[in-house]
Amino acid sequence: MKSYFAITKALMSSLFRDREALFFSAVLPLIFLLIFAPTFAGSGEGSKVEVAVYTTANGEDRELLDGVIREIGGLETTYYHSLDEVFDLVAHQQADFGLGWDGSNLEVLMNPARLQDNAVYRQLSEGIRAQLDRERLGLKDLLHVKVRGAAPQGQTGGEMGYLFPGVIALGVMSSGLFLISASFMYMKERFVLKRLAATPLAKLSFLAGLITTRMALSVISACLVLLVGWLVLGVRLPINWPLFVLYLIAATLIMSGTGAVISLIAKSARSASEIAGLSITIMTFVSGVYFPLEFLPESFRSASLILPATYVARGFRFVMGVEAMPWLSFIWETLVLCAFSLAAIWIVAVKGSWDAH
Amino acid sequence: MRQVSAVFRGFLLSSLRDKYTLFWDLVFPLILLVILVSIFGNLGETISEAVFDVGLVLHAHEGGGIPIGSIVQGALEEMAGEDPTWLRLFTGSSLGEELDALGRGERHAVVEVQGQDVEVNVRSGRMMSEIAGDALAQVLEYLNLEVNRRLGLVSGPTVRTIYREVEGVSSAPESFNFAAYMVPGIILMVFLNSGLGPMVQRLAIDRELGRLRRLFASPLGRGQYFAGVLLYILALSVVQVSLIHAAGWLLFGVKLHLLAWPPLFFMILALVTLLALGLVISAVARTANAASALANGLLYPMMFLGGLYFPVGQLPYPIKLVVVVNPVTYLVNGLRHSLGVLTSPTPHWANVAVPLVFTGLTLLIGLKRFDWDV
Repeated sequence: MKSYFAITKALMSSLFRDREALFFSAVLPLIFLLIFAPTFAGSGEGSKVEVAVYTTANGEDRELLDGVIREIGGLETTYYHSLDEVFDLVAHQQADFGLGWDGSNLEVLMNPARLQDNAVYRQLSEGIRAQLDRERLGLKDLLHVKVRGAAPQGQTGGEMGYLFPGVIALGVMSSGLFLISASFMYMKERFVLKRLAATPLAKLSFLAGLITTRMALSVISACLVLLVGWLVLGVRLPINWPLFVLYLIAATLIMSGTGAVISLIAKSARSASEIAGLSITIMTFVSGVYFPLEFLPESFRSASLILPATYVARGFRFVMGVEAMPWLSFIWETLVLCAFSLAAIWIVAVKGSWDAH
Repeated sequence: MRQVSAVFRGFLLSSLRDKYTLFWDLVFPLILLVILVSIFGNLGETISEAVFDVGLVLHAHEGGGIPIGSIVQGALEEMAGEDPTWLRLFTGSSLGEELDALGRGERHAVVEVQGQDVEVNVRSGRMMSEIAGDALAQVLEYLNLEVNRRLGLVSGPTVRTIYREVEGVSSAPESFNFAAYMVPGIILMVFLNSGLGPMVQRLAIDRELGRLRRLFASPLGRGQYFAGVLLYILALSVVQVSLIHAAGWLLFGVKLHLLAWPPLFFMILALVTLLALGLVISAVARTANAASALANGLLYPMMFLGGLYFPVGQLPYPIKLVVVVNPVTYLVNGLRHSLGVLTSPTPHWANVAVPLVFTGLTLLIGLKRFDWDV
């Protein structure tokens, strides 16, 4: 136990001197949070949508459109003298979308580059059309339709809800994946492990110390993300704290195991580290870390099934109260992945040679 | 000239021998292009192909009046029967069971009908569920209109909605193509990497280890060394741009006129601007570790808040401040506009002036503070 604490302390000091590891595990997730949070929330309910309007309708129909837009709310409208002017403003992204109204047709102009917002603008336009019909035809509300957004079982979502578990998963991926694939393999190649093996230090104590340092890094990264999310973005999630801490540890272990699998394939420490770097980029896009898997093409969704980051990101969404999943699935997935990871780490770091030859 | 060519050859051979550098410089941008175009280029298609699982709960219809529950059920069943690739309807369970299924992610929406009240329950924050809710609300709105018509309560035509996408700039009248949007973004991404990536780190490491001092003890001049490095980056950039363009063309059918003067001007301006920034980083950071941290700290915000991958003009302040002062924003807007891919959201003068001013300032600081020795 004494040797475990001693090696953990030494490894921890070494980790905190490694600015690159700290940057990728603790600072980069924060940068991503601050970049993507406003992007995700940009098209949400809180922000005003700027609409450029051109109308050739007579007084009554023009007033009707005015009234409908006022009723819908959240829209900042400006009237222009021609449809070309509206077209130009939408093209230059100086208006979010444009409307042309002649009293019977509603022309909606959208900029195709506004990929993340156009669905909202289309929805708003449909709302305007439905309201115009209601007013013009004197439609009776035979169906009182109401869309109710709920977060069942005390969970929460919101525009930014999905992002937080993803950003935390990214930090854990960085700290865990490079544990065996970079730190351990570099120490092996530089004969540090060979020298350590000549001391009374048990292999397991060393490995436990190494994993502990990465778990600490995961905890620091997650705390920073949650703190900044709360203080800067005002987001608080209904996190199951004991489970969250346990899952942070389990997720770091899972990603370390993935790193160990990479080390089994790679021929050198450098190659393992480069494969790990590429894997993070691919998993970030294909594992539903930042956006739901449902938004990915079929081939990517199939590929996501074999990537551990898919399950880690989903696990974080579950323990952070963002997404529901059956408890049994959560426990089963976590246990299986942990078992595989421990086996991979065991093969590479305990059964495998500590000598670079 | 011989010395310049020797430095160039040295850098070139060192890169060619290192398969990892080759991978990140030449192959990785192509992988990123394929991933981004596959995901975001097909987003509309992916959503339109989605099948919504909808639970329907009807409460007993009391008294006379219009049997709204049966009308809604009939309409939804007809839709599910006609197009099962759009809607899968689940009936026969209680509201509690259906809401639990919604919570577990097994339903996208649950429609509850009680008398004339039709409530569409969706899962907040789950995007597909919200899309399903909006689609169902539209269906129900239309149903309300139809019932009104059948009962003879209304007559006359409804408003017709016509959707139009604003096209690219006048030189490229064809419709928007996401792959064409992404190719200039990836080109500037590799330039950004050339400016702030491994070159900065290599320069910092060589300086820290005293290699540069030893190098300059030879007849090689500092200007010649610098010219050799620039020549290497230029050659690398030409290869990178050619590969990205070829991938865009072969994989996505994107043909861009990169060799026309306006896009060439923006690409050269981008390379100069980002290399000047790299020079400032090398000048300010005293150690290789600090240079790497500073470069990485700038790389990601400049990349993501420069509009390389998605539009950033609508972001709120204070984050928009980074967008406004970021030269990459203007460079990518200028490049896309000059290629006829997208109308620039920033004024043309700004697309040239902002990077030029930025380059002037960074060169001034960089050349004044840069030290070849530590």
